[in-house]
Amino acid sequence: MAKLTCKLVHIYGLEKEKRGVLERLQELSVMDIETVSEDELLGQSPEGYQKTDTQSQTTAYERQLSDAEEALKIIGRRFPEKKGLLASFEGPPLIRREDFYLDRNAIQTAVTEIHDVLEWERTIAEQKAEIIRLKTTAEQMAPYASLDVPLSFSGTARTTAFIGSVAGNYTLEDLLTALAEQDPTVDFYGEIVSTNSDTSFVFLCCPVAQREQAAEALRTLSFARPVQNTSKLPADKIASKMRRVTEAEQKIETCLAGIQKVAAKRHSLEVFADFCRAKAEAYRTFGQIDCTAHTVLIRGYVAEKDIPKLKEALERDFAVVLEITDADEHRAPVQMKNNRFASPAEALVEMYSLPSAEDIDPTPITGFFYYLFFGMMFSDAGYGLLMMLATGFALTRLRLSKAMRKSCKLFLYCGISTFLWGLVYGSFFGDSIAVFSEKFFGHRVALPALIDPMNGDAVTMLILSIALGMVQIIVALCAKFATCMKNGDRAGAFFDAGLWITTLVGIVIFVIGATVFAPVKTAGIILVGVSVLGLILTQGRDKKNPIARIFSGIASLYDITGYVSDLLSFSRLMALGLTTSAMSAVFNMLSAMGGKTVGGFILLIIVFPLGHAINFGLNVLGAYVHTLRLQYVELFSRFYEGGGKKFQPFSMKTKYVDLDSATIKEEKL
Amino acid sequence: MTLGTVLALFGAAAATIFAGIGSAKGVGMATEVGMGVLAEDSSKFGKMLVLELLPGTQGLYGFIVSFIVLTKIGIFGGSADLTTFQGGMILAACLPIAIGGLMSGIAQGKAAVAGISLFAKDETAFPKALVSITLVEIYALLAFLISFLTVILL
Repeated sequence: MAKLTCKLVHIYGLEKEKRGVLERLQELSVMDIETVSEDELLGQSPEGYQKTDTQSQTTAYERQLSDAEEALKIIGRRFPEKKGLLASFEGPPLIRREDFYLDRNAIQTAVTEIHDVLEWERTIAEQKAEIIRLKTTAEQMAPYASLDVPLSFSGTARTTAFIGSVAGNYTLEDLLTALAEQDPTVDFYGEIVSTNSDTSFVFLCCPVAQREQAAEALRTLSFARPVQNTSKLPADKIASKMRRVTEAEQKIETCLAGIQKVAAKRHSLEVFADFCRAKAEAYRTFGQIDCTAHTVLIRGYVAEKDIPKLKEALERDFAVVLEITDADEHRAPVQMKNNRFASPAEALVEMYSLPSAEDIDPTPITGFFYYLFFGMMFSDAGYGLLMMLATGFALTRLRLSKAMRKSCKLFLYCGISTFLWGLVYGSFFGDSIAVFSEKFFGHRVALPALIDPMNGDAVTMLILSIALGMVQIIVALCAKFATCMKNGDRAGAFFDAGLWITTLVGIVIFVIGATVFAPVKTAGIILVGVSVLGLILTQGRDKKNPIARIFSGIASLYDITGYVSDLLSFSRLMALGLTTSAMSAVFNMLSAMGGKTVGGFILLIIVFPLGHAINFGLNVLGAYVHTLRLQYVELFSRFYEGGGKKFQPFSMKTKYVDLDSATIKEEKL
Repeated sequence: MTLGTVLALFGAAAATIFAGIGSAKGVGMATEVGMGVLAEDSSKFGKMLVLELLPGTQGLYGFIVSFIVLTKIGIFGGSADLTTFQGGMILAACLPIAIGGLMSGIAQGKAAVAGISLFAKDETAFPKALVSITLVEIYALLAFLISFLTVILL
């Protein structure tokens, strides 16, 4: 229930076994290899040692990896893998060790396939562009399709031909008239090849001698030569373009078929991608460790509990010497280890910041209060039951990744707490039982409730919320006490944490005395008085001047405002609990509005699930966020610093497949 | 139906309307910025949703107060005719969450916008953004407490 003790391990081995040792370390995934040694920080390398340059191997594997990822992306886009809804929650498939280390042939096949896929994809893109080009050309030619001379035809020995378009939709008669109006001297002969709404495509001839005037007359009608100029007949040209379009389409088909064939074996590509990823990681690490001509030195941090495993696995097959020393707590990475109940909350602590060397691991406290407060805010037996069923199903039936398993467990515990609080508040999908029994069966049957938020017990809820808040604050101060003791700060422990604890406890006793049990009232007052006096005397203990010391002692009492506002902050426990109940009540009322009729029944089966789905979604998010806030602000601010370095073992870091079957078994409920 | 009931209804309406406007504006602002971030990196959706929805509670608080008022004045069956004086008191009791919800919803929306920008730049800053945005919420919570307790105890 705390941070794991880390040891600094030096592994001395033989240079020729370097690869084997590192591969074994990578599989074990228990060692956070330290790549920059203390000596190097001072600008010196350990005597006689130097690093191997593995840049080229690393880059080669990284390039393979990025190609493989690219190919997989293409396959995924063209032929998406059909996955069930449930399967999408599952982690990557497990794979046996011997299937992961690919042999030369498998690598060669994968590389060829990846290359092919990328090539095919490129071809598809090129052919698509080509099709557009061809179709554009064909479209530009289309108006001239019925012309029986090539577009480049410029005339005979005696005539000059004009092929092109003029602005406006003309008949031949109109066109010749319009030209005659421009220049009556030119003898035009011609035909309209085709027209569309605002352009006419024309073929005109005139005697060679009148070429200049003809051109002039045509210019006034905005004559333009065709964009495409070819010596073939337009109809032939169009046909040949369309033929090439068909060819390009066939090429695309072939490429797609090729990609589809590879898509069927995408899992082998995924293994290959992960293989390259692991290799790249391995070579990157190779390049960072120190070697001499015949020996190698690997330095890193290992959790104490993993050391026998590491020793056994290395000494069995390799000639190595392990030197194990205590790690410097400030430099060592942090690994948390908690019992089954608290460990799901590790993710919440990690999201804030990992514990530093000075901190205690806050996970058990956070876990307890997180489950408690989440349930109090969500507070519905029905919703709790749904959460338990969903997460229970996922945990037992699906093969989840480690992180997913952890968050499922977190929500399982939150669900249990929600269920229990729902019973306390007598809420099962809100007041559904009461509403439906009254509407459909005639007499009202309500769930018994210890505290009924919707019927006058809201003040009790508020008091309970503040009281639980007080408990959390006192626990936080106790944690501060423990933190101070751990760091040898006795004065801090007793004066800063201890005196505030007694003050708060005194206030609690006083409140109990004033409301329920009068005899303890005086005891409370005395305890508060003594503690406050203690605070005034001790809080300025770093000041030399006795008067300044007393003054800063008095000023420190101002902290009480912080405690008051923190306590008020816990009223959100009531507010969010009420939100769940009130919104459920509204939806229940709406869904039962139709009464005992067919229409009423239809209304019920539509509104009830929909309404509660909305309510569930809104409030589960609210409960998650606000519970988290109560941890980060009201709990952590009292004693927790954070800033620890995450333990990142040298490992496979796979994405598509999972080799780590042993640890998954260990993690099972 | 008496003038008192009408006044109380005005109170209920104000609580839902103004607290709702506050939340709608707040969530709206945050979502606009959030969409921009998602356009760059859609993997942030889950956490972004949390940040976007934070200014949404004010509307819920207003709604609860209205709901309690409506049950009290017998809208959902039964009838309790209120005197003008009682109605006025309920109206007054609704004002804290109406105005507090309106202002704090917008303020929290602005904080959420800033928080989202922070989160977009640095993913590890998520808890800091989250906690900072909820700082505004305490004032909506205080307004709600006063409205709620008054309405319940009146």
